[in-house]
Amino acid sequence: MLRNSLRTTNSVCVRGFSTSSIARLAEPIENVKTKTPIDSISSSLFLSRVPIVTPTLGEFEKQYYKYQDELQRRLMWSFPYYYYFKKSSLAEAAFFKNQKWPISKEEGVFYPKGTPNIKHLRERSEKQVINVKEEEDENSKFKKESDVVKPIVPNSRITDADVKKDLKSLERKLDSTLYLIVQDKKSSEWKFPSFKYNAEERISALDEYATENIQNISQKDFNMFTVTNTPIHVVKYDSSNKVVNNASTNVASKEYIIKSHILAGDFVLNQKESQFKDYLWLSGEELPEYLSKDYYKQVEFLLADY
Amino acid sequence: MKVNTLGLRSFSSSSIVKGKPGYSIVHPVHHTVKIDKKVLSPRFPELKYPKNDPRSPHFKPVNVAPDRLKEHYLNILKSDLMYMTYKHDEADKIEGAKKREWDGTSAYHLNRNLRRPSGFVKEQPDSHRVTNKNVPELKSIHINCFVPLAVTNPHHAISSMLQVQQITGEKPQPIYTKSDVGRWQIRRSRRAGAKIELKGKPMNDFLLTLTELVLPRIPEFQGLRNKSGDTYGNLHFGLTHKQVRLFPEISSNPDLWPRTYGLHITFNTTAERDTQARMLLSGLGLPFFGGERHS
Repeated sequence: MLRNSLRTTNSVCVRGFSTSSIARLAEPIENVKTKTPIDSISSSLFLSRVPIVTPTLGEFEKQYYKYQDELQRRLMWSFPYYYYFKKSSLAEAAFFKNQKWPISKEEGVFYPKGTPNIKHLRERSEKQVINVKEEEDENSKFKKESDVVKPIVPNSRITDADVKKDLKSLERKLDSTLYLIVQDKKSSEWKFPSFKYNAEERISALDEYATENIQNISQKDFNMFTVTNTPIHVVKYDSSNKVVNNASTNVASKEYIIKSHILAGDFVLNQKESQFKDYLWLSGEELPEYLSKDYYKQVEFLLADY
Repeated sequence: MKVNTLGLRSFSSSSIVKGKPGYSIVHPVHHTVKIDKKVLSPRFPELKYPKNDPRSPHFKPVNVAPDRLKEHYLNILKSDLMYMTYKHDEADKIEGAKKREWDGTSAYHLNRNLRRPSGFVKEQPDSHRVTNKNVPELKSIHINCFVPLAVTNPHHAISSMLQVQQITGEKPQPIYTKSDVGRWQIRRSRRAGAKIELKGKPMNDFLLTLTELVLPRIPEFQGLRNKSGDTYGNLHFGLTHKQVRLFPEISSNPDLWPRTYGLHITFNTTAERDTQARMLLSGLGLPFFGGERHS
């Protein structure tokens, strides 16, 4: 298959993975003459924290799932108690004692909720309810189950950071994706962290440059996963540093966006040693309040649904 | 018999269609038309509804709870997979090795079967560039629980069916032996285990129990082998009969299970290569280990 793929790619004169010679040949001559200076390129990081809990359901969704669930329980097969409890065992007796059995049909009796329709000890028009927990005897000398075993209580979906409206915490809005934005010291504009290439430095790849720089400006350590070394988008600027939205305007500088996720640790901006003065972790809904209109229009399609 | 000189197919022979001598019995057309008597009969009108219609007796509600694995895939994983599998300047379609024509230098090339593809025994499928239309996705999970013991003792066939049913919450199908092998004490068409194909919510639920409850409890488990896979994006691995005991449905009631049976699990994905399938499954929470197979 590999042999085949090489043959195909070479025939249309694009770069093979093992060589860069064809890429040079294929490059248009105009591009070589007007080579973009390295200072005009910057690598930007689209750093996100993925949702930690499931999305919060709306009222309609809750009702829909409840209806479907009840319907499924009504149509379910009867509980096979004979499979779980051996015949005439103590466990079976305890199980039978716990159950609330349905009302059977008798002649000459009016049933306001409908005539009982029973098969295999089950009312067929309703869902079957199985009582598992034994009723606790108050006078028993043994300890209650609730005293011995700590009950499982799920943590709240709303965290302290949500209550305090701490926009710098990674523990806010657990059910939605958060994105890191930073404020530039000079222009005071909010953007995804972006790092301009320096012509004097050793030139590294876009993804390496962005990840190295973001780690350098953080006071705390964190682990991140860079999805791919290919930029997912490019934002173009004109000579007055405004976002270019149409093709006719001259492009003075380009900002390549690299996608990555934060996995562990925390990002805390070191203001002294960076070009940024502030940072925030915002959800997709909150971003338009901070980002400029043109910039948001450019990056809107990158945002996750929730 | 009259010889067909026009090259049209006669009902008594298919030799001209195949382009080679031979004989075949073509069944008359009217026998191949299947009649669904359920549809024609007026006796049971409710059987005519499709299975997803609430009026049908086969109706089973499906969307009983939100599916968190599906939502994770759609919200996070899908776009990441597209970016990860994207290759700049890649061709839209790379044709796999196909069977080749003979060059016709010999008279014996006429009517000979086509030449095998270069470098392969079988024809290879085409592979396509990953776009937003064909991002790798988990199609189904196949569970195969083959129990050779069941040939001699039919009770094992029943309890293996029950085990698969308990683990997945869906109804399995029986497996039958296919051949007679005296040494293995196998005889043809005996029940020997259970199989099931999981899709949708039951599949995602099974995968979540596997990755969050079962696999972390296996001390010697390192992950799926990087060498596993059929080269076309389907990965396999197995669980021993001891590891199956770690499923919560079985571990919560161990007295009921004096005996458990090992499983073979196949992840069937829409990925065209194993590397892409591995990318997808590691995103869904399955670890991988070891060196890759170079082919």
